[in-house]
Amino acid sequence: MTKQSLAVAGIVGTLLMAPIPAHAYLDPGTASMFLQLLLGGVAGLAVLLKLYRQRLLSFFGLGHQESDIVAKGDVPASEPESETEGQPH
Amino acid sequence: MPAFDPGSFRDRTSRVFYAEGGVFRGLTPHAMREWTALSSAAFFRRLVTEGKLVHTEPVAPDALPPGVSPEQWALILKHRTIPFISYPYEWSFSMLKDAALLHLDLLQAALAEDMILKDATPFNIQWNGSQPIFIDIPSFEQLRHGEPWIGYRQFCQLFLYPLLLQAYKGLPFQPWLRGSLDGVTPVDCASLMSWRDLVRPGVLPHVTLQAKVQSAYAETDRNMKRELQSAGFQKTMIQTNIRRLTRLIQRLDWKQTKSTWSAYAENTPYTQAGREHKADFVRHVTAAQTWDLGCNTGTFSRIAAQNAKSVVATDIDPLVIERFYLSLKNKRQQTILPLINNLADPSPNLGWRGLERKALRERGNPDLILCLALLHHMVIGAHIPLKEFINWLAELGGALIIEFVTRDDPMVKTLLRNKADHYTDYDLAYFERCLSEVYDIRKREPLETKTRILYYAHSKIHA
Repeated sequence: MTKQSLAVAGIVGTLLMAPIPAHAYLDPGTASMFLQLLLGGVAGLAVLLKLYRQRLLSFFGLGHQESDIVAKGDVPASEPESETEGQPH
Repeated sequence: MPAFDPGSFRDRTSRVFYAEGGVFRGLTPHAMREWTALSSAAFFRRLVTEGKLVHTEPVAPDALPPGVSPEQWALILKHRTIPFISYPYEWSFSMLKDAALLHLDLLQAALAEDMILKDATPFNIQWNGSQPIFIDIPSFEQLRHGEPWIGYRQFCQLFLYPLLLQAYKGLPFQPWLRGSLDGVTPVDCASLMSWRDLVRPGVLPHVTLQAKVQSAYAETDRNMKRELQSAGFQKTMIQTNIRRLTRLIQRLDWKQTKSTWSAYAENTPYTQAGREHKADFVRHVTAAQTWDLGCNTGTFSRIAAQNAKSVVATDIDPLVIERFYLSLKNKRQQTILPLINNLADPSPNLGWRGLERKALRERGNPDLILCLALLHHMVIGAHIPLKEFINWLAELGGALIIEFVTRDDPMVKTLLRNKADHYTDYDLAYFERCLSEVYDIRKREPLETKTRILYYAHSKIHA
C-alpha cells in the first residue's frame, strides 16, 4: 500500500468512526468543501495530502520534522460569498 | 405597476419582477458583470438554443414597461415566460432525476468556460412540458481560481439525497421536500442508510462521509476556502466530482411497479362507445391553459393538448405521474406538464412569510378544467363535501368538463362497499343544483351505460 492510499484510508476510517453530534453548531459549508478533495479524483487526493501531510505522516509513524505546509495567508482571501439559493421565475 | 416576486430575495444581486405579463430581472452592478461574462460565453447561446436555459435578453431603458425605473438597477433582463411554475415536491422520481442531470450538464458546460453555478437548487428548474429548463440566470458566475463547488452540499440536499432515498429505500421524496424547502440534511440521510447501503453507489462518499465530515468540522474556525486555494484546489476536481455524480444519478432507478392507481387503465369501467363519446366531448373544447385533475394515464390530457397551449396534468399517485412523464419524454412532448398533487391536500403556500413558494391555485387560472371520473373519489374517498369541491373548482374560473358517476355505477359501489354511507351529498340532483349555482351549464350528455354523465359548464365566478 502506498503512503497516499494508506493516508486516505486512514482519513476515511477516522471519519467513519467519529460520532455525529446531534446538537452541535455545524458549519456544513466547510465540511462539503473539504469533502470535495476526497471526491475530486487523484488530483484532489494529492491536494488533501498536501493539506494533511505532516499530521498524517506522524500518525502513521512516517513523519518528518517539517513545518505545516499549509501556508496560511499567502493567498489573499477571496471575496466572502454566501451560498445563495434559487428564486422562482 | 411592476410587482416583485416575493420569493426572489435570497440572491441579493438580482430580483425578479413582473410587469405587463412579462418576467423581468433587475441586476446589481455585480450581477451585471457576471451577465456580461455569461452572455458572451459560447455555452450560453448553445444551451438557450437547445431549450435548456431560459431565453433571456437585456431590455433597453426606453423599452421598459411603465412604472419600472431603470435607475434602480444596473441592468434589467427580460426572460421568456414559462407556462406553469411547479416545484420539486410535485415532480416524479424521473423528473427530479432529469432536473439533476440538467443541472450537472449546465455545470460542466459552464466549467469548461471558467464559469460555475453558485447554487444548486431544483427550484431554479422549470418545465416546458416534459423538457426541464433552467431559469435562474444570475446563478452563473465566473469561477474564482482555486475555489471549490460552493453548491455541492445544496445539490446533495435537494437533488441527490431525495433521489437516493427513493431509489435505495423506496422512500418518496415529495413529502420531505414539501416539509423542508432546504431538503434532506446529510445527517438525516445518513441516519436512514443501513450498513448494507454503504456499498451502494454514492452512499459512502456523498452521504456517510459528508455527515461525518460535517461533525468533524463542527465549530471549526478554519477558513477552508482559503486553505484549499492555498493548497492548489483546481477546477478539474470539481469536474471529476460532477462526472461521477452524473454517472451515479444516470444509474439510479425507482423500481416500484405497482401502486393504487397504476392499473386503472387496464381495468377501465368504460365500454368502447363510452370511451369514444368521452374523448369526443373533450376534443371539442378549445382552451389556452387546461388543467386535467386526476389525469391517470393522461389520455384526456393528450386530447386536450391538441387544442391547448399548455396542459397541467395532476394526479395523486407518484407512479402514475412517473409513467406519464416518461411517455411524454419519449415523445419530447412540450405542452403537457405532469405533476403529483393530492387535491384533498394541494400544495400550500410555503417558505418565508408563506410567500416564497405558491399554492397550486395561486399559480395560474385555467381556461378549462377537466374533472373526469374524479368527483366520487373526492367526496366518498377523501370526504370532501361535494358543494365545497364544486365551489373550489368554480373559484379557479374558466370552463369545466366534469363527469358525475352515479350510485348505480360499479366503481361507486366498490368505493362504498366497506363504508358507512353518510355521503348524502353524493346525489345526482344535489350535484346538478350545486353545479348550476356557480356554473352556467352548457351541455349535459350521459354516456352509453347511463351511470356516467358528462357536463360542460362555464364558471360564473371570475377568478
